[in-house]
Amino acid sequence: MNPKLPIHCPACEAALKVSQLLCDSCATVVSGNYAMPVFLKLQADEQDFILKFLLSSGSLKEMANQMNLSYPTIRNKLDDLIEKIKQLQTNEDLAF
Amino acid sequence: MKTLLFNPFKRYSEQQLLFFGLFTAIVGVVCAWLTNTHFDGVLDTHFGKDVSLKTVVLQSLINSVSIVLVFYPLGKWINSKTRLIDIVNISLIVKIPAYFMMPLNINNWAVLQSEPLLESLSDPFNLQFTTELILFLALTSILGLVILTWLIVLLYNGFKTATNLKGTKHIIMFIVAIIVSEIVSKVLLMVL
Repeated sequence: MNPKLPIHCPACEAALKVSQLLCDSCATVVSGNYAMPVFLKLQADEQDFILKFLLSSGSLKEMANQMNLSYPTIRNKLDDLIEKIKQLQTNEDLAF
Repeated sequence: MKTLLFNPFKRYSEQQLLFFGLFTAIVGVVCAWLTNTHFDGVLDTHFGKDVSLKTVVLQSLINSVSIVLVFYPLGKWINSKTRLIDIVNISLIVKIPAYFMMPLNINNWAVLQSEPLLESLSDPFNLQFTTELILFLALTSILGLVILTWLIVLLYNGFKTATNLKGTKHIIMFIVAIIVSEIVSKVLLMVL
């Protein structure tokens, strides 16, 4: 099983940050307060959508065929995702 | 099955929808001619006697053109990426529910049943409610409501997919567009 990366606090729903990183080979632990990259703030299905978009060289028609969905459905998903990323970036800019 | 019936625009490609839409439009026109059914308006279905093939073809074309004339500019305004092919497909697919009304007028059954109703307009108290008349009234009202709801759901889902429509403002404009397309179809039918 590949556990899902939590992006929101299970207690208060606020966005989570990275406080610890582990080297899998020598077990070195790095502690700090790092903001999560925008890509990781997206839901698993949204990250998967971006990967598919990249792997199909940005061809929405090819994606529509692969995902068994119509072209406008895929285009709408992409537009919604663009909007969400812009919103996340704005929130990030405001946080700094 | 739910997607196929209420939102085929979500899954099927524009070529599949266009082929299916044109095929059902041709079948619909032939059946309308055989059952003397008028589709005299985007939302209308009426029964008559001796309806010509030319009339049903013209009505079918006007209905599709009226939907495209109203919904394509609105779609472009909501989302500049709206494609004409998606709106054309909507105009063809949304008429499919209305075709399920046609069996009611096989052998002019619906027209024959409605005749006593029309005759009794001057003297409504003399109307005899036969079992067949009650069946006719029940069937046309229930089927009519179900079909109109299905048509509007298809139109909404199709337009939502084509334009990525969101929010109350867009929904209100969609409702207004339905009324405007009905008026446009009626005007075109009167003029042509």
